Amino acid sequence: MTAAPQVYGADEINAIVIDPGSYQTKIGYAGYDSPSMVLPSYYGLVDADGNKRRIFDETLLLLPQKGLEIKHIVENNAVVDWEGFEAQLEYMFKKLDIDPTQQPVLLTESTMSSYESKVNALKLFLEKHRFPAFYLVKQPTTVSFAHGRPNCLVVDVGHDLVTVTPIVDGLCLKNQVMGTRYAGAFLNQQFEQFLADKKIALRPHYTIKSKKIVHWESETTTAHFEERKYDFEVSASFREYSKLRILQEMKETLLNCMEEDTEEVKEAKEADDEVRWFELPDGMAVPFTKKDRTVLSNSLFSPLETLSKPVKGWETPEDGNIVKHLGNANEASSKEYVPMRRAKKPEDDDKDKPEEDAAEAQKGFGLLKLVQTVLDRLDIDLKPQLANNIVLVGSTSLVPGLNAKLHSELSLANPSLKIRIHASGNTIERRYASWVGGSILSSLGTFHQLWVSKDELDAVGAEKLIVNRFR
Amino acid sequence: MASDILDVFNIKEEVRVQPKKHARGDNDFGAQSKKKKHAMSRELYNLIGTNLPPVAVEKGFKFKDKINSGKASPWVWAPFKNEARTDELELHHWVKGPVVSSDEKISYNFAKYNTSLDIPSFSKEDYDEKLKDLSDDWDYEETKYLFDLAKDYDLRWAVVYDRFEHRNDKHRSLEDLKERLYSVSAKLLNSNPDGTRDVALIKGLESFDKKQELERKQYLNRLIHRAPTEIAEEESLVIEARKFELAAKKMLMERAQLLQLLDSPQSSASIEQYTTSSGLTQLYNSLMTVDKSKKRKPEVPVPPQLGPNAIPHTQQIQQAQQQHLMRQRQGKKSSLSQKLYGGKQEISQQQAQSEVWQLLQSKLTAEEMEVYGLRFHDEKLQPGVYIRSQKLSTFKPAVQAKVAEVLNELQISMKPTLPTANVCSKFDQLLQSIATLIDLKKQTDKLSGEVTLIRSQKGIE
Repeated sequence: MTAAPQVYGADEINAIVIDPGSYQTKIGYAGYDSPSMVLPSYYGLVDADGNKRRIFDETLLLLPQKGLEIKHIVENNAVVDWEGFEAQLEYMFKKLDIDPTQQPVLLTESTMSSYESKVNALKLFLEKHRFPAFYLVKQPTTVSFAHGRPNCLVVDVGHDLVTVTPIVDGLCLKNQVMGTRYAGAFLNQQFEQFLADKKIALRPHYTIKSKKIVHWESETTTAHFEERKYDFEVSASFREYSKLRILQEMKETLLNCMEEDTEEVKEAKEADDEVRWFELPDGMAVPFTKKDRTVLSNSLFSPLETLSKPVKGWETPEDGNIVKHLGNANEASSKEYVPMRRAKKPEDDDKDKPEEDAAEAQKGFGLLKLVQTVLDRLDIDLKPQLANNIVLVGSTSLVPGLNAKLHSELSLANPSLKIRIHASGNTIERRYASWVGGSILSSLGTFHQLWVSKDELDAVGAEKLIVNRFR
Repeated sequence: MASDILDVFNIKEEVRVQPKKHARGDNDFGAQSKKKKHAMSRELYNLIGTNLPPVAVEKGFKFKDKINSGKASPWVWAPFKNEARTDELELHHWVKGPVVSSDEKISYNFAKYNTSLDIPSFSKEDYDEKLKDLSDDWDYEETKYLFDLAKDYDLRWAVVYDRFEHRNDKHRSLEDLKERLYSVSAKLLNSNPDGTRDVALIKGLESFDKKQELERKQYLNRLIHRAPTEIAEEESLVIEARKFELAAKKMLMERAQLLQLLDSPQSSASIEQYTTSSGLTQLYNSLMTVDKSKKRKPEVPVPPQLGPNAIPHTQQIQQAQQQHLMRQRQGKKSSLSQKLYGGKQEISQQQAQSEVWQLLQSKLTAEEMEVYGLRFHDEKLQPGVYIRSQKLSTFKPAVQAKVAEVLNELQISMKPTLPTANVCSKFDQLLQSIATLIDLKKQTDKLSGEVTLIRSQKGIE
């Protein structure tokens, strides 16, 4: 035997870590610093003459085919299509040459995942694929492990959702989680509407055969391109999915958050200078003025001050009580053990100051407001520590200036708290933080007692197991 | 020079042979190293030319340590069982060393970290028996539920509170939960069946005061919700206070130093050995060395002494003119000063060498000098600055007190209010005479006392 291990010493058992996100699903071996395989959380279902087949490869998903429909596997951080998820897993196992019976598997889930999804996961991994052991862990918990901060406030700005989760000793305070849908997809929708307002068609790459650059001047400007024809009908879901890639690029190249400034700077912003051109696949170069870009980026903070109102799909302002809207966390998870659940704090607060909250809810909770509300609702003994350990993750948090803006505005709002935001400069760590955390967690020697084995599932039963272990 | 470069410049062979040889001769190291070691490629060596290479390039230098290859130690993908688990799950990990037969039981390294808190437990009977009358608000199920949660989450109250959801719709605050758990635990521990009691622990549990806890949190809340101006003010006050503290500390230190300085060393040994002159010199020497060895404070920097030449030219001219004028005036006043100073002529002549005296005497009359408080001293002066009132006569403490008493009686302050030279001298005279009178009084008192004593002894009434 080697020397005595440290308290947090690692003991590698080559576990598999799977982290399904609302945009990408990550899989890899524990102990690695980045996932071995990252796939979109979508799959293509080809229905050719009643012969169904699924496509998972990222590049193949961009190739139009007859009868190809693109489907979501994950929506709002929760797996919605278990069949598709299972097929995708099998595809990944095959690609990575994984034999399920050889090692345990760790799956991450959102704090709001439903009882059924937990049962599904247990059945899928332990009964169907016969992994020796399985564990379900909350995504914010793994993020806290990835950053080595047992007490922290995880701010996850992802594709479908923005969530703010307080973590104490690596455990999520589930009932104090808040979140909105003002995340990456919200920005996508705004970009689409921005183009629609200018009467610009957003044509995906697959429709273009050749093009000539045309600079947009007015609504009458038309793109010069030759269209690529297909002898079959391309489905709407495929078209939508193909657009995602363009929108993704737009977000990466155009966005930049600006801090709220004085009047002068605002006036300067009004001026339509510093135009940045974005060339669409059909050759149309679209101008984005500094003001446009700033308003688009800052809509993460003030979701009601958008360029085109209302944003389709986000018409009703959200008040951050995501647990109530999306959450089915408590529904059956405590069915037997605890006869009933009880809606908690948020409602009590509503009772305390109904008018104020109603007015606030009308505004729509931007990122700052969301973090601030979670901070305000925290126990006073935790508040200073968590404010000092805010962990910012998620791909959309990579918008330049977002970190600085959040920090300066939080500091202004809480003069007596020392606000510190920990955001990794490494984009891999920022985008795949929850996977990296899962990788760390499942290679810890002390973690190996927590795995749930098939024997345990048979002995205890899914229901009790979930209540006891995966609450 | 480098042959390649010469090639480039098209310089002929004959011309370059000579300098090349010369260079070789000069450059001992380069030649040798090339011959012996061939460490550098020719092109590289030629580029160096006559200059010595800045770093000695030596073959055989180990840039990378070779791995000390003993026997390769085998690593085995070995199964292991974790005692912290209740089931028989077998996982695999890499272990160094030869395969150990699976019969041999090796305890898992990390199992020892599986610890849990010792939270008292109770059954339904226990509850009905002892705990029922503790609170009407709680029933058995809810209490049990709270205890299970506390055990599950190792008393992480924030998490327990977050997960606590019970069927009845009572809102339990974090403090409610804490109070319930602590009070029930205290009661359970108190009625421990085997009679042992951890008194300190029970006391600790019982001392939980919900009201106080709430108050504490309220205070903290208020502290956090201070306005920025308040925070700024507080900060500035803290800085201010620190300044005061520092100043006080400094003063205390200075005072201590001063006291140490003033405190005369207690003489304990006899002075016999210092009575002779040789002894005295010895003492002097030893004192001097002590003085030198003491750490001296840095003295006030003295500006460098400048000769007359260091003064700017215009000032020099001015000075010369003044001196000339002075000499003229002296001539006029000399007769007057002779009359005035009469007997002191001799001294004044001695002092005449002093420029200052000359200057003063030439400009001021005696009356004026008195007005300005200027005086010349016949006797040698002590070095250093002093205040006139310091020079007032002092007496033995007993006498001093009496003098003070008399002064008080006469309604004269202890020190002259306007200590001009005249006043001071008069005041000194007054003090002297008071002291004399006091002494006299004492003597007479003593004598008259003796007289009465003798009279009474002899029976003379």
